[in-house]
Formats: sequence, structure tokens, C-alpha cells
Amino acid sequence: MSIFEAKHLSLHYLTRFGSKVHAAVDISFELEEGEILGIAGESGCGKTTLVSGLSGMCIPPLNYTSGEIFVSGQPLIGRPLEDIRENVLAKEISMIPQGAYNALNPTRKIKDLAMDVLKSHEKGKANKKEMYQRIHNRFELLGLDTDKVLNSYSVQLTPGEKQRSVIGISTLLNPKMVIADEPTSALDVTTQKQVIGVIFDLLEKKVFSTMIFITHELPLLRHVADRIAVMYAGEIVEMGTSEQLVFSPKHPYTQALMSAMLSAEEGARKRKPEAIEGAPPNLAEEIVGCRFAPRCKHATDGCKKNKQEIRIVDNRQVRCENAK
Amino acid sequence: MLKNHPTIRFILQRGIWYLLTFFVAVTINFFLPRFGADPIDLIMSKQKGATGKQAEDKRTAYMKEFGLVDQQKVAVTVNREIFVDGNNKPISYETLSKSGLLVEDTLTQLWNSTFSVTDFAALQNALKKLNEKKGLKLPDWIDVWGGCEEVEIDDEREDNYECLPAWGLEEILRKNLTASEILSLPGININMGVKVYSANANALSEKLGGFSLVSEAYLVKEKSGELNIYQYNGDTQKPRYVKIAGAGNKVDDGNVSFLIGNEVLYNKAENEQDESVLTMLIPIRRSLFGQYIQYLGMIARGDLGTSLVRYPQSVGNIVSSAVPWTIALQLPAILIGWFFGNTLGALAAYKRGLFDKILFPCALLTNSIPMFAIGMLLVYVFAEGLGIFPASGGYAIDVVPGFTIAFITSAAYYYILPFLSLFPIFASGQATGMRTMGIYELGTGYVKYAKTLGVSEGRILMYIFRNAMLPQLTGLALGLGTMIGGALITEMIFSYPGLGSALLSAVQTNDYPLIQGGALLVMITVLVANLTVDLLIGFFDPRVKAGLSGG
Repeated sequence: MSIFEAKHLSLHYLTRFGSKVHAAVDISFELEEGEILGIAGESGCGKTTLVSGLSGMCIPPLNYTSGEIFVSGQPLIGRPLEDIRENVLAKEISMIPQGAYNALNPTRKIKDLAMDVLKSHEKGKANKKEMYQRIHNRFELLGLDTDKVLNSYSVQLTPGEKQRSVIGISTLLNPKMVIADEPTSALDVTTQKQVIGVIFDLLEKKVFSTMIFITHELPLLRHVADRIAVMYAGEIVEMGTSEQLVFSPKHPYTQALMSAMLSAEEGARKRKPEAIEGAPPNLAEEIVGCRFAPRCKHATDGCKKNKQEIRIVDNRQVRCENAK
Repeated sequence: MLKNHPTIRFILQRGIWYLLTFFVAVTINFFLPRFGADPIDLIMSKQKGATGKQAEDKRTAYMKEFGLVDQQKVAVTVNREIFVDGNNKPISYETLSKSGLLVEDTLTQLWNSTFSVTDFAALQNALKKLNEKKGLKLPDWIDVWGGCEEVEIDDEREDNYECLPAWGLEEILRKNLTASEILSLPGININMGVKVYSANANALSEKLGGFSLVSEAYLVKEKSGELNIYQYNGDTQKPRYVKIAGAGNKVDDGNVSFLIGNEVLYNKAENEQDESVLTMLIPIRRSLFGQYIQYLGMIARGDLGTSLVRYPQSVGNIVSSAVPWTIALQLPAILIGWFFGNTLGALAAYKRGLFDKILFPCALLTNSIPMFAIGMLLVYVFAEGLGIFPASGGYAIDVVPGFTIAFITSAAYYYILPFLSLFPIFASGQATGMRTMGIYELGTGYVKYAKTLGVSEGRILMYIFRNAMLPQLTGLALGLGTMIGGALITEMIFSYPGLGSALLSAVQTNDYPLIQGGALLVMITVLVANLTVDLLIGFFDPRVKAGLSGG
């Protein structure tokens, strides 16, 4: 049984004037225990929207359109919010948010923030001392000056310390699955390595085993993920193992994304990076045919008109009728 | 050293800045009334009742109160021995002072108050007792003078005694009255002092002639046994006593007891038999700097001076009787308004929807109505129209202020309308502020993060309320700080007794010490409130706190 499953999940934002922006469309994937799924895509492709939807807590104006989510076989959508809050969040699914610099309440100490998470889920079960000990033990794993960090306010911490504290708080209850939304995007390379190192440490120590890792950096994903899903304009356009996607991408968008990647190879200086022409479509409008077609070099009349469905090509899912 | 104690350093730093601000404010407060026309002139011109000597005395008193003049001690040399006992031996002032019932004290008391004839008899008895105790004899003559107007007796018009207290020494001497006869004179009213003279009236009468007896004259027994009359020459530069007349041997030694003047301190040099030194207190105008130093000293002592219009009430008294009303008027409105407004604002931010859509415009509207408009509307509707509530005053006329149930219920009843005019404005201001802050906090990353981690709603609400509260706390402290001087309009509309009304009347009557005192009080409360906010924010907000420790 898979730990997490999304079936044809669609999400939309409701605008002030009643129109809908379909930010995530027909998302389907399954996660086995111990698997790490990377989700890649350019800014605005719906990664963060998808993350919000996956946790089961759709905060308006984000709403579910259709589809289902199963957590450990149990359907998530439709359960009462209080039930989700108490039994799913932080226990089954936990989040490591984008930008730890504003994820921590500036007027509370880190230990109090961690304590709030524990207290919210374990009413009256454990005493304060024991809770603090648990927090302390978890933060020891993060390679931090534990006592200093726990007794600090977020403003007193460096970005790396903040991000690691957030990871510590998010994994306090040993969640089955962690969704990390660009946990390293605001950090410099050294700190980035530290943070990734911490995540791997926690995986190694079996604090959690399954993860959805979201980033716009494909090389990072190749390091981290078992499978990669590439998103474009709210859809998953290609999903396969990281080897497949990085070395033999099939979808034109994945290919373009790969060639647009800057690398430090020889002769790279003065080489203009290949940008993808055009801009993503406006999701508030109805889109006919392939969403990537207007920017696609290989677009045909057929794929401009026909809605693209997932196909299995070369042992992976591709949303392109021309992919071979 | 202070580097290791950031908190102490922070407090000291702030404290010093606020002290400096306070000092500047005090300086401005001091100089402002001295820039324009002479404040004493202004006051005097408004007090038309007083003329002549009385006015002059009043003027001197005002100038003294306002710190314009000082009394300086000036040594005066005089050849005389003032105190002699029954055996004609000198008594030093110290001995007299230690004896318990000091005549000068009795006299000073008399000097400062008005006495009826019976009181005069009491004095006479006191003197008599003292004299017996000391071995002194009661003098035959007791001079009574002073009065309502200048004592000016025209010898050629002996019937001109329209002003009753104008019974001067001359008159008494002329008529050759005894002490008991003086007492029986119609309308005798001692309000300045008593002088004791020799029994030999005629001798004095001749010699004194044209001298004004308003200033002190002293009968002095010389070493030779000769008796002379001395008078202060009135010269502040070279003060001395001038012999104005000799009493001759006709005066019976035994009858000479003592002479005491108003502002004379006796400072007898024991080693000088011939020359005793008299020290006098003479009014001297202060320099501006001297006035400033004196003002600072007063402020340091907590002395706000004396009101010129409500003389001799002290400003401290007036202010401290007005401030409780002002606080009672505003404090409940501010505190209740703050809690009410903030709760509503937080609810509006959290619930949004219809509640917010109704509350927010209402709060904006209320907040933009001027206070006097609400006040006048309330008076018009509830006091004039419906007659449910009283239109003005702080309590019913027939109730005596005090801790009685009648007074408290009356004050509460009279308080309802002023409260209703203040409360909605403050509450709506707080509500709009809190709503905006709350909405902002709701959208912050940490709220979203806490939600994705399933932190309970109560806790998240606490996060929001606490963080949104910090700026509101400033509003509260500033509200409390400006409260003292802030409700002038309300006090005017409802004729409420308070500092605002007191200050208004002070401004209208040029009562500078009261204006200065009120302004100073407002200044102090605002500064203290600001300082408190500064320190509170420093301790409550870790973002500021972290800045302190340089972390």
C-alpha cells in the first residue's frame, strides 16, 4: 500500500470576481514508503499550490476542484478540518516551508514554537519537561548549538539556523511524509549543503522516510530524488526516475528546461543560456490543446488542438502525444 | 562596563534622552511667560479692586511668588540693645527664643491675620503673661496701626477719619489714650502688627511728628541710658538705622520692653556691647538667570508655585484637586475603549465576512466624527431633549464630595454622557488599527506555517493577537499619557471639573504659574508614557530586544 496517493487532483484559486484560476490540474502520483519524489518546474508553475493542496488544508482562496488524495489508504479530502489538523498535519504529512525567514513567529522563542506544535497534537499526554527533552533531542540531530538556538528568537538566528530549526520543528512528530517546498532556495551554496545534509541525516536516522522535495533546481533534485515530476502550467508534464529525466528527457519542456540549466562545464563562458521562448499561459483563461504548445519547438497542429493526456513512454509518464 | 548589561544600558540611554527632553521643555516653560509683557503687570491690571499700599504689597507678594524677587539678608548696624529685662539687663535673642513663648512668633502670627478686638485682648494677656514670666513689665502703650488704605492723617483736618482703621499712632498719642481705651475705639481691627512704646507718650508724640509709622520705628535704649527712636532708612544699598528722634530722660526705663518689626531678624553679636548687628530681609529683583535657577530648584523640589489669580492657593493644590476628575473622566473611557476596540478589531480581522463589512465602515465613521460633535449631540438629545441625564457638572450640587454612596452614585450618573462622548471615538480608532494589524499578521508566513503544522487555532489566534497588539500598546500608553491635558473639549462641553477647565481659566486670566504647572504636568505624563512605551516595546518585542544585545 502506498503511503500517499493523489488521483487526478485539481486545484483552483477563486478570484474576487468569481472567476477561477486553475493552478494545478489532473495531478496523479503515488509514493511508496522510503521514496523521495522531486517536483521541478519554473516559478509560477503551481508547485507551491500543489503543496498546499496535498496537505489537505486548502486555505481560501485555494479550493479543490476534483480528484482525491489518500494518506495511508485513507481519503483526505472531505474529512473535517479539525480531524485533519489533529491527525494528519505534522503526524502524517509535515511541511518544510519556502523561506524559513518568515515562517517563525518573531515574538516567540524557538522552543516555545516547537512546544506549541507538540502541545497542539498531544493534549495532556506528556509533561512539559519531557516535551522539552524531546525537542532538545531532535534539535541535537540538526547540528546546531541546541541550547542557544532553542532559547533564541528567530531574528537572532542566521538563515541556515532558521532553516534547520524549521526542519526540526516540522519533523518533531516523526511524520510519515515530509513535503519540503524549496527549502534551500534562499540560501547560499554552503548553507544549502548543510541543510540538505541535515535532511539526509534525518532520513538516515529514520525520523522520516518519505519526502516530496520541491525545487526549481534540477541538479539538486538529481542528488536527492528517486523520481522527478516536472510541472508546467499546473500540470505534470513528465514523471520518471531522476536518471531518466536528467539524462534522457522526453517531453519538449523537460528538454528545454535541461538545456536552459547553467552548468560549469568547459566552454560555458560566453555561452548564452538557452532560454525557453515565450511565457507560460494565463491560467485564468481556458486552454485548448497542449499547455506548452505555444512555446514548443516541436508543436504540431494536432497537439495545439488536442488536450494532452498522460502516456507511458520509455517506462515513464509523459504528457505529450509526440514524445517517443 | 555597561557593554555587558545591554538592558541597563538601554534604560539609561533612553532615560538620559528623556531627561534631556524634559529639561528643554522645562526651559521653554520657564521662558515663555517672560518673553511678552510683564506677567505681574497683566495680573495687576486685571485686579482692579486693589490700590495704593495694598496693591503694592500684593505686587511684591506676586513678584516673590513668581520668583522675580528674592529676599536678601542685609546686615544693618545699630547702636542699641533691644531686649532688656526688669533689671534693665539685656536679654539676648537666643535666650528669648529658647524661653518658649516667643513674642516674635506671636506677633508674626498676628501680622498675617486679621484680629478682632477680643483677639487683641488675648494678645495683651499673652504679652502680660510673658512679661511677668520674664520679669518684664507690661508697657502702657500698645500701638495699633495698619488698615485698609494708606494711613495718612491730615493734621489740619482732624475730623477726617473716614477710614476706620486709620487710627494711627499719632492719633493715639494725640488723644493720650491708654491701652484699654485704644481697645474700646470703634472699629479697631489689627491686621498688621503691634508695636510697644514707652509710657511717655507726649515725648514721642512731639518727636515722631511727620513720620509715617507704617515702616518700623524702634525705641532704643542707648548705653548711656538715653532713649532714642530709630528708623530704617529704606536704602537697600547702604541699609542702616537712622536716629530720628531722642526720647530724652523723660521715658521711664522700666517701661521699655521691646520693639519688634516684621521682617527683622535679630542677630546680636555677643561681643559687641555697643553695636549689635541687625540682619534684614530686603526684597531684591532677581536676574533672569537667578530666576531660572530658582525655577529649576522649585521644579526639583516638586513645587509648582502659587497661583496668582487664586492667590494664595498653590498650583500644586489646584492641579491635584483637578487631576482626579480628569483621570476619572478619561481613564475608564480609554481602558474600556482599548479593550473593547481591540477585541472587535481582532474579531473583524479573524472572521472577516459580514461582521467585518459592517463593523469596519462604522468604526471609520465614528472615528472621524469630532469629539465635540458627539458631545453636543449627546447633550442635545439626552439632556436637553429627553432630560434623562444632566447636561453639565461632575456631580449634583446638593452632594458633598467624599467617599459616600450618595456622592459616588451622583458622580457616576453625571459621568455617563461624557463617557459616551469619549468612548466610541477611542474604541473605534483602536478597532480599525487592530483590524488592519490583524489582517496583516494573518497573512504572514509564520501563521501559514503554524497552520500547515496543525497548531491549534487558539494558539494561532494568540500569535496574531500578541503580534498585532504591540503597536496597539503604544497607542494605549500614548492615550494614557496625553490623557491629562487631552479632554479639554469634553470638559468644556459638559462643564466638567478637571485640569482642562482649570487650564482654560488660567489662560483666560493670565495665571502664568498655573499655566506653567499644568503644562509641566502634561509634559511629564507624555514623557513618562513615551518612556514606558519605549521600554515596554523593548522588552516585549524580541525584534527590538535582539537589537539591544547586538545579536
